[in-house]
Amino acid sequence: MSKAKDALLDPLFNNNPIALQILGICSALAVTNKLSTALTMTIAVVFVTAFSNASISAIRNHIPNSIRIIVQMTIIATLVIIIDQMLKAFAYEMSKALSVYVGLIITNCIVMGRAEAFAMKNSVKLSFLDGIGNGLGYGIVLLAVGFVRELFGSGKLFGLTILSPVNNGGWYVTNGLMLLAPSAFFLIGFIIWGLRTWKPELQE
Amino acid sequence: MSNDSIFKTFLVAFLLCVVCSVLVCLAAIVRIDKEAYNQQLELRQTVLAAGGYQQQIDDGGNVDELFTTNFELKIVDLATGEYTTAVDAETYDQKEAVGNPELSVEIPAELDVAGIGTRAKYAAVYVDKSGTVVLPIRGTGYGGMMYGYVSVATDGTTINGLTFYSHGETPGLGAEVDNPRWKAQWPGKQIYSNPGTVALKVVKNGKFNPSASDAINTIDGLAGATNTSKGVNGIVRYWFGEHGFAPLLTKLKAERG
Amino acid sequence: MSHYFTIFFESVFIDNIALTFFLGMCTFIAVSKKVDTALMLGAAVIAVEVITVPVNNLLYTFLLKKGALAWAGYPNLDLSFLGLICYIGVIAAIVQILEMALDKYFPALYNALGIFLPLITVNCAILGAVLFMVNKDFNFAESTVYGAGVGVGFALAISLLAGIREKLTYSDVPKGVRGVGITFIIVGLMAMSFMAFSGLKFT
Repeated sequence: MSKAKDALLDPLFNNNPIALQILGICSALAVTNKLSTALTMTIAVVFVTAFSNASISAIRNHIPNSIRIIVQMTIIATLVIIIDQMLKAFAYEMSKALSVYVGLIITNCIVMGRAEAFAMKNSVKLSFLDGIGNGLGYGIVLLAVGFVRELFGSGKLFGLTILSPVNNGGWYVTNGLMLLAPSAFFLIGFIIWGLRTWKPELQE
Repeated sequence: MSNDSIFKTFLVAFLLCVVCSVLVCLAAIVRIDKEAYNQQLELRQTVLAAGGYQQQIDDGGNVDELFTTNFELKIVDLATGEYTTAVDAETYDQKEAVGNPELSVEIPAELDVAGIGTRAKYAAVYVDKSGTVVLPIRGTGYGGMMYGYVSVATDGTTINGLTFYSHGETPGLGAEVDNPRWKAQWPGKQIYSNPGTVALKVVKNGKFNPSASDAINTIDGLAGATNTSKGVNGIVRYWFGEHGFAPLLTKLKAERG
Repeated sequence: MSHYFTIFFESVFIDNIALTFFLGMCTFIAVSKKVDTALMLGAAVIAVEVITVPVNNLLYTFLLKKGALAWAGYPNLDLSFLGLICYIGVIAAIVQILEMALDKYFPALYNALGIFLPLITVNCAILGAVLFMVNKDFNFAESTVYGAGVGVGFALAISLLAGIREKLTYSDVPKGVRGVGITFIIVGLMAMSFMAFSGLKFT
């Protein structure tokens, strides 16, 4: 039971994929200008990582070594295509906002990294939980960055106005930098700074 | 049987391909089913918004109902301004036509103020019950091509609304073309002062004088987005000119204005 | 000719895959500690891009696009939803072949590149460049120029970052932000400076 708890909770802070393992950064930067896209991306990554981990773990004793990597990639790519098609079918506006970044989950180092490092050596149940844990750890950073960027960049959270922007007749002069991608870099840098100051054992 | 034997390798690869293909194709079938509807819904929402029906949508009106009761799709020959049946309205794709040499014309450099190079010979326009027309427009902005619809009243010169449904402009700056407050400037503006001359223009933000004699032809640009504003200016000046919709609008005024 | 130059120039500076679209970040951050290794990775990326983007373009044009299978008698088929899995498969195969070819014919170069080649397979920049090429609907020649441009842009960005990080080794960076943290902040500043290119237009 505690192994299961570890698998689920470890990646949230102790071994956070973005802040500590430095994986899966690419999409973290482009989709965090709004909380809605950040949340959709998180759900997509949790789904793909959990199910790819589970599937790979289920057949881990039968994968020939010569095609190991390509088998992992095929499973991951299949799951990503499924999610991509479902988004296009049921959340059309959202799929346009996320454009190529959903497809790029295939190359998201978190998914491949966990498949190779964990799913190949652990049971289906533990792998599934590890997938969810890493997806959520990724999600925490994404939502934190998205929160700051949307709030200070457009005065909104999930599209609801919190700080009324000047352009809409309010008082808040929006911080244009927050709407542009470089701000995500700065924010992640600061999050890493904060995390490593909180847990000095993680410093380089 | 060893995992690395050739037989097992092929077997695993084959089974994996079969299972994955089935799953992917099932997902694609679901998507294809919905996609046509999603795209049509988006188009209808944009046309309704440009045509002045946004308030009715906001009040809970059904998009499909509002669209089918109020709008009719017609193909217009841009050179003559006449409605034509030369191409089938239901299957005509104006974006594809731009790439087809038989269905498009190159724009002479000195006329191409919207920066689009080629335009289709025929345009798919939406005509309201009352005679108002909703016209497709596009042009180069700061961050790529901007696509939108503009709605013109039966007098052939008064604008009812303008909406961009696709653009790559900078959020907070050029992307404020989507801001309802900026869009609210358009209804009531006049395109032409004398017949044949496009008087409508977008000026640099801050230079708009509401009491000037040509205020009715002027739109205040976007703050901090000079290139986007110039892009919008180019778009309206091209599409309302002789090479764009002017022939259609002249005919519209003659028949209904 | 100038059309190709525009595509190349745009993909190196204006649409730089690392600094404008933030793809390939994992290797970008991890391999930019020294200029030598950065240049190696850059060279490897250019080589892979120049081959994979045009090959995937052929795949798209003759197999996957809407109407692509007209030559086989199926003009109404649109298989573009299989794109993702095909592109990544092709990329993995090409990288594998490139590795084997280098090992056989240029062993010195193969040893120098070492671990980087397999790493490139999962580099988002490679798949990203292919996806952008599909989005922009380039033809074969344009894809080749675009692939080269993306590779050069990535190489340029990572070499610049490595140069800055090398200079920083003797700076007094606070403990919590040393290493990865300060790198993110530098990349953010570099990204902002590259935004200066975004208004460039060619007539």
